[in-house]
Amino acid sequence: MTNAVIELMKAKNGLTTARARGSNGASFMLHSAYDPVAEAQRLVQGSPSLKKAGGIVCLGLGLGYHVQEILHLVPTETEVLVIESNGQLKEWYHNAENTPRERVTIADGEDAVKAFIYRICEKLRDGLVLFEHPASLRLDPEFYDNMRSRVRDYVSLLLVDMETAKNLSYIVQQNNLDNLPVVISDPGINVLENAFKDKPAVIVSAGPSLNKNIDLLAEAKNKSVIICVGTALKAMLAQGLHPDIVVTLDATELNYRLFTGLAPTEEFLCYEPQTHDKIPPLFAGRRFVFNSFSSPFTTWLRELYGNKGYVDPGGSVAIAAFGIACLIGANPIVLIGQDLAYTGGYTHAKGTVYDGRKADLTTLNLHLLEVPAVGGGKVFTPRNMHTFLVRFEELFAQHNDRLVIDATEGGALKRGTKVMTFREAIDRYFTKEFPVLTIFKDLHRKHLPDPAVRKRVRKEFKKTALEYERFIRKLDKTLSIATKVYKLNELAEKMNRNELQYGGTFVANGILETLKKKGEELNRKLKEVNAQAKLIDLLGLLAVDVELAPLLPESATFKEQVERIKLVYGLYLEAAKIMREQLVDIADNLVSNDNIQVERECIVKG
Amino acid sequence: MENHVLSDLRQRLDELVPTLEEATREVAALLEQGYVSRGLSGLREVLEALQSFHEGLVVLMLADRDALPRNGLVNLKCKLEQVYPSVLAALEANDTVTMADILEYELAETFAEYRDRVG
Repeated sequence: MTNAVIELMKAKNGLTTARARGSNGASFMLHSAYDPVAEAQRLVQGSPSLKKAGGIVCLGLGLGYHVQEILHLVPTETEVLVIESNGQLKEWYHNAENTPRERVTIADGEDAVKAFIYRICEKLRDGLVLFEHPASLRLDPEFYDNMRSRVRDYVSLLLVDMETAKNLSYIVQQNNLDNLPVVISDPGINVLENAFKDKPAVIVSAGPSLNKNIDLLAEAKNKSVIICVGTALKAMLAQGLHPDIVVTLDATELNYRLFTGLAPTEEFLCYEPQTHDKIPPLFAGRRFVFNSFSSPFTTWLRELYGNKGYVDPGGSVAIAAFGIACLIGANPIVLIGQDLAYTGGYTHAKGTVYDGRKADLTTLNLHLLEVPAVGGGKVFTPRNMHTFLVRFEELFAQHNDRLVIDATEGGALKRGTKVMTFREAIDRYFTKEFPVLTIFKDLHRKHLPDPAVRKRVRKEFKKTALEYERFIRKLDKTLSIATKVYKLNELAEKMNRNELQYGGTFVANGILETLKKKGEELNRKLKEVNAQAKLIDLLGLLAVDVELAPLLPESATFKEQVERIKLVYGLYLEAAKIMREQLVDIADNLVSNDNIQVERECIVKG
Repeated sequence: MENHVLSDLRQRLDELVPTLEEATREVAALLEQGYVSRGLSGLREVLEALQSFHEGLVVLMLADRDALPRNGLVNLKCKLEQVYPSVLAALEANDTVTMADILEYELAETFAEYRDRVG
């Protein structure tokens, strides 16, 4: 019944109810003709998982009675996406009084499902509930079947992403430690604060539209601060163009590949401590460090080496570049190569390591969204870039004291920017010369690394490694007791089921008594372990599986509780062993790595 | 002896009322929650039970015309007769919301009223 007409009428309790009538005259009720609210309450109570849901996708709006009941039931921060294809129902909902609007999004497309699921991804661990309004599904069964599949597809994709993040977290920790000697010595980006107040800056990204105006960058040199993302560096150097700053933050080997074979000579590197550890050495003596990502471990490191300057995270290096442009006081900020979309079907500009790579633009590609394009029409954007687009727009709104010019000349339209060609932007704003690199060099030279910091870090690492050594022994003991409790409990269960071949009351009492004692001992050990909150917190990046492990329900059996203790504390034990080893290694490295101090001193003298 | 049989039948019908009420509400809930095939199968069983219940009421009425009005059995019988066609029409239209409405607000409520009256 895809073209049903909705007839509104009064239910017996005076509320509005609705009947759907098809073109053949057949009809059915969408809500109770007696009491639509009570009906909705019963429907919602039939889904107890709603109470703890991190997000809800509701198939079918009807007149919204069930949506209202869902909102009463769920935590106050939980958002609801309602999928409804019938225009009459959507209009009624929007026009009706007292229908809830906050936390409710009504949509009829796949894109909205994607956007919603990715927006609430952090809450997904609490569970996403797919709630169905059965009567609404009859309005367009094929449409709702498709939507149901899409919701499941996107959740699966997101879980794959979370798995990737889990794999990455170990590399992030390792890079933070490997980069530590240079991070301690290098000046922070905070020394650049407002160094280029009201001077223009151009952020060069590696989107396909960079091909249209990369050659104009020569005219921007020394009339603006040229900030380039790592991916665009190769394309710039290939044209004989040199940015003033290169920004990098990605921890992976893929990021390092962007820099291999390049010989940057004058550019300064702005890097996040998690970046691939082979990148900072390529810019010896020309580096500024900034912090963007936070975890208990990186926060602890930051407390040890001191404030280096903070740039808002957003997951993309271009977003970090925008943060840096704001920090140095730049205005206007001009974006080029910032397509945030597959313009012309390409993923990147020519001259980058991804030169010639084309995107799969088939409509079945679950990774794609269609968004408004610069110059009208629509353009495809992958879901991760869409997240960046949303984040960019938030940042543009936050920094509305700056003029942000989108001179990409293609790609996704960005709210909060003024669209013009790069030619126009140069002619209008890049009018005065100023010695960009000289300013950077002077500010870099003024920063003198404090040798006491290195000593402090080394001392703290050694102390913490010792604490972990003791902690590992405690965890070992706790797990050994947990295993005994588990086995005793199995025996007790067998005894209850009369499966034991031996025994009698004497044995039974012995098992129960020992189980009780060992259980109490386990509780004491757990208290001791949990008292080491700092050591547990610091393991966050190495024990991501603990976070991903589902929580036990209140009704969990004793056996399930002990199983979880074994799992969680087993993961902590493995993580603690790795951490101890890393801390010892880096503490040693900090002793032998005094050559970095020497490198810095040479530059100061030079 | 004959009175004893009738009294026994009435007692059995009285005892059946809470079970029918509960079954009716359960089937209504299944239909509301969208469990259509389980709901329809439950509805068939409820309708068969109602048919037998109705037959029992007819026997009672034929044997003792004065007995039914006294304890509300006439109302129950009339209600069942009114409800059948509505349920069948909703079944015909595959209108699960209306089926659930009739079960929840017509049948189950009538049983509940009768139960309250009989105590």
